[in-house]
Amino acid sequence: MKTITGRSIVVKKVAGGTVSESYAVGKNAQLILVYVVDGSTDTDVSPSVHLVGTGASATIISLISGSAHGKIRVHTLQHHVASGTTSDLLVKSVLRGHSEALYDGSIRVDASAQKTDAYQRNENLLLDEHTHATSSPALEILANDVRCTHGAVVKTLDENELWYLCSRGIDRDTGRDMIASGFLKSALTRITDEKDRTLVEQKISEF
Amino acid sequence: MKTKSPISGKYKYGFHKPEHYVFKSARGLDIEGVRNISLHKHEPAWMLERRVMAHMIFTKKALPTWGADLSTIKFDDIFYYIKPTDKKANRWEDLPPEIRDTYDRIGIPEAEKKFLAGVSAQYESEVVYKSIQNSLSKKGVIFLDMDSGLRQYPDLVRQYFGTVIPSGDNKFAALNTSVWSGGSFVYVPKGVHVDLPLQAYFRINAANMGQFERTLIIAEEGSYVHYVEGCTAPIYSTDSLHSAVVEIIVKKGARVRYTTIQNWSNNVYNLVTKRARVEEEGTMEWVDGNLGSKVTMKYPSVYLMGRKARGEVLSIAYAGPNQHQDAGGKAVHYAPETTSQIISKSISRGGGRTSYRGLVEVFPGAHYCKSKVVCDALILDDSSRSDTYPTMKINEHQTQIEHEATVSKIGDEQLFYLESRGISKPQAESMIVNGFIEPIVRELPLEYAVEMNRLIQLQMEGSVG
Repeated sequence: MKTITGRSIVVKKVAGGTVSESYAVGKNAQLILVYVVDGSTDTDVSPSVHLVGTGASATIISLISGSAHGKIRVHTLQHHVASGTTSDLLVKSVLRGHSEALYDGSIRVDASAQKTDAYQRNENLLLDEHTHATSSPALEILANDVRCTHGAVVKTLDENELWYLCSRGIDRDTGRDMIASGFLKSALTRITDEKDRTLVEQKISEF
Repeated sequence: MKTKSPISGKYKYGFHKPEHYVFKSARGLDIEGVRNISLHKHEPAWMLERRVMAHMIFTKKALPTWGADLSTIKFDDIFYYIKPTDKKANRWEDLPPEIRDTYDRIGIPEAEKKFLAGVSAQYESEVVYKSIQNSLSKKGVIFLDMDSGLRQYPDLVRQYFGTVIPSGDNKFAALNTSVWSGGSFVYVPKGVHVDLPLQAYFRINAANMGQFERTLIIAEEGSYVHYVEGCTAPIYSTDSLHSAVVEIIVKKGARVRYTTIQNWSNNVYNLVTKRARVEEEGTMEWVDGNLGSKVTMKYPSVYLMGRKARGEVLSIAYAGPNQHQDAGGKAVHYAPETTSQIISKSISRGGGRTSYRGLVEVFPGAHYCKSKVVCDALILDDSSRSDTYPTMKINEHQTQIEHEATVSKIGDEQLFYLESRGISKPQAESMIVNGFIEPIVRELPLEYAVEMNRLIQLQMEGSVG
C-alpha cells in the first residue's frame, strides 16, 4: 500500500501482464491515477484506492485500447473510510479485432464515511463484430449522507458522426480512428485542474 | 396527519388466522412427501414424474452463494403441503383492532378487506367473480387456479409447464416444481384483449396465497392481458418460506403486464423466480413492488427471443428494520432490434437493506438492440444500507446499452423548503418519498396506487414520528 500525502499524479502505461496496486490517500491529500492500457494481449489492471483521511480525493482514469485477441480485465475499488472524501473513476475502452474488456469495480462507503461523493463510470466503444464487453459495477453504501453515482455504457460507432467526417473529405478508416481517439481522450477532462491535465497529456504523449 | 400513528416502529401488520386444514404433510421434505402431494391431488403421471425429478435436483443443488443470507432457512422444519378446509366464517369484528385500523387507513373497500382478512365476504365477492368469469369465458379466456388448470386443461399445461423456467434453473425453482400448489393458470386466445386486470384474489375457489405458488400465463398472438397479484394490505403468514415460480409466454405481437405488490409479514423468506419468454414484436412488462418479508430475492426476467420484442421491469423496494430486499431485473437479448428498460427505485430506513441486482445480456447476432437501466436509491438514516450490483454482458457490437445508478439521502434543501411552508418534518419526508416512487406508482391500477402511497406514509410515520 502506497500512502499519498499532499498531491500526487501517477501516469502508467500497461501493455500485457498484471498490475495490482493499492493507495491510501491521507487527510486533504489528492491522487490522480491514470492508466494507459495497450490491450493487444491479456492484461489485468487492479487499482484499489482507500480514502482514509478526511477531505481526501482521488481521480482514477483508465484509457484502454483493445485489439487482436487481447483480454483486458480492470478491477477497481474506491473505498471511502473517512468522511468528506471524494472519488471519481472513469474507465473507457475502445475495442477492435477480437478483443474483450471485462470491468468490475466497487464503490464501498463505510458507515464512518459520511458526506462522501463518489462517481464511477465505464464506457465501451465496440468497433468490430467480434469484440465483447462485460461491465459489473457495484455500489455498497453503509452511510446515509452521501452521493454515489455510477453509470455504464456499451455502444458502437455512431454512423452519423462518421458520415459527417466523411462529408468533410476524411476517409472512413481515418474517421473511425479519429472518433475512437477522441472518445478515449475526452476522459482526461475529468481532471479539472488545467495544469494537471496538461501534465498528464504530456506524459501520455511520451509513451 | 395530525394524530399520532397508533402503530409503533416495530409493528409488523401481522395477525393470526387459526389453522383449519384437512390434510397436512409431515414436516420436512422427502420423496414420499412429494409423491403424497401428487397422489392427493390425483395428478397425471407426468406431473408426478416432474415433481420427483425436481426433488432430486433440489436436494443436489447448493444455495446461491450471492445475495441475501439464506443459511438460516430450516428446510426440514417446513410443512410443504397443507390442504385448507372451507374458509371459516370469522367475523370482521373479531380481528385485532390494529389490523382493522390499518385496513381503514390504507382505505381498502369494505368488501375487499373482509375478504383479505380471511373472513367471510365470499357472497359479495362471488357475484363479482362469477360475472367476470362469464365475460372471460365468452372470449375464450381461461382463468383458473393452477390445480384446476392442470385438471381441466392437462395438454395445454403439459405443453408449456416448465418450458420457461426448468426445474434445474435454481434450487428454489426445483423446490417449487417438486411441491407446487396453487397459483394461477391464464390462457388468452389469439387477438383477445382482456380489458379488466385479472386479479388473483378474485379466484376464491382455492387457497389463493400459497406457499409454493405456480403461475403460468400464455398470451397467444396479438392478445393483451394484465395480471395483478398480491395486495398492499399486509398479509400475515405463518410459513417462513415462500417460493413461487411464474412463467409467462408472450407470443408474437402480444402484450402482458404482470403487477405484484408484495407485503408479507416480516418473518417470511420470499424467494421467487419469475421469467417471461417474449416472441417477435411482443411486449412484457413487470411491475414489481416489494414492501414486506424478511428477505426477498426476486429478479423478474424477460427473455427477448424474437425480433423487436420488448421488455420492461419497474421495481420498487422498501426495506425497514430487519429487512433485506434483494430485488432487480434481468433482460436477455437473443434477437435483433430488441429493446429493454429496467427502472428500479429503492428506499431503506431503520437499519433495512435494499440491493439492486440485475443483468443485461446481449447474445451475438442480436444487432441494434437497446437497453437502459436506471436505479435510484434513497437511504433515510445512518443505520441503513443500499447496494447496487448490475451486470452487463455484451457480445454484440451493434448495440446501445446504458446503466445509471444513484444513491442519496433526502435532500436537506427539499426538506427545508417544505418545512418553511409549515409542513412537519415527517410529513415532508413521506411526501418526498412518495414523489420519489411516483414514476412507478403511477403504473399501478388506481386503487393500488392510492393504497401504496398511504402505506408508505404510514411506514414513514412509524419511523420518524
